[in-house]
Amino acid sequence: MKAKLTFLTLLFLSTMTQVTAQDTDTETIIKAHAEWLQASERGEWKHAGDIMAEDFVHYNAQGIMMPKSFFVDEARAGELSIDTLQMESAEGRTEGNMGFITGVLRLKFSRKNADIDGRYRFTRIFVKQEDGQWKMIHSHNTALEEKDLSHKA
Amino acid sequence: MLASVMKMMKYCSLWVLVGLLNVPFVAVAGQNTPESEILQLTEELGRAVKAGDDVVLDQLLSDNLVIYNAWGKERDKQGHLDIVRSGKLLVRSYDSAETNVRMYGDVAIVGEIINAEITWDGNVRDQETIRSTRVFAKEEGQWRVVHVQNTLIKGV
Repeated sequence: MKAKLTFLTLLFLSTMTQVTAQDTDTETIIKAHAEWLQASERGEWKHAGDIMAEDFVHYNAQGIMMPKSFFVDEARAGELSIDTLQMESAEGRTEGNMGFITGVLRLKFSRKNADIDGRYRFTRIFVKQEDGQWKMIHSHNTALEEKDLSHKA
Repeated sequence: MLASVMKMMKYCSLWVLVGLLNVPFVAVAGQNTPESEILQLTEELGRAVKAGDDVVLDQLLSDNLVIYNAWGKERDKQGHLDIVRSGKLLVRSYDSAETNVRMYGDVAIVGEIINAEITWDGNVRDQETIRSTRVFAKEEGQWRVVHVQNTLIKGV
């Protein structure tokens, strides 16, 4: 009976440890994502670049593929400027070494003197590196159309 | 006699050499790297989407799947299978291009451009070009799609 109780206690503690580790990882990527957004909004591209992995890829709402260098170089040249970045909803989850932040944001920015304003469904994907750091490896935005989309598959 | 034995040995050596040279090529061709496995699954997924094969889709899609379609609508696995099984969605053509696989251990990100012509609820739509992200993750030793996001490429 005592052995059974000890086993159950160990099992409970082991489950708790896993849950706690997962929660910590999720908190870490939520924080990293918030930092990334804040750095981008402030034009602190060096900081934003530190959160992105070297092979980071972004698919923008026009379906164009942008590597990390695009953000950092273009932004540094002053061509990309974010005016407003307002998070409407965000949710984080981690499974093993993979983490997702998904949600909706309103983004107003100017690029090459063209102003763009819209609501976007986004996905950010993080992967835990060998050194234990979480890096953003992929990002994808899809424009949300305001009209009724019930007919869209 | 000696000349013919020598000739025979030379002939055999040549074939042994050819055989040895072939071994690495055969081994490489037969190698199943994680990237090639993901590419095969991506092709299988494309065929299942085109054929509306809900059985194969059920196997390839994770129970935790989240899909954001090209208009930003969110759907889960069951919702997607319900659409496939309803018969409302008919994929008339489906081609992919610029397929790119990035591996991160038990996670794979597949990016590609999909050209598809569909009929939705009896209405024929124009060809749509979509930028797609698919995330595969290993679940109990099996690669499954855990996340999808699509974006319509306008003006293509």
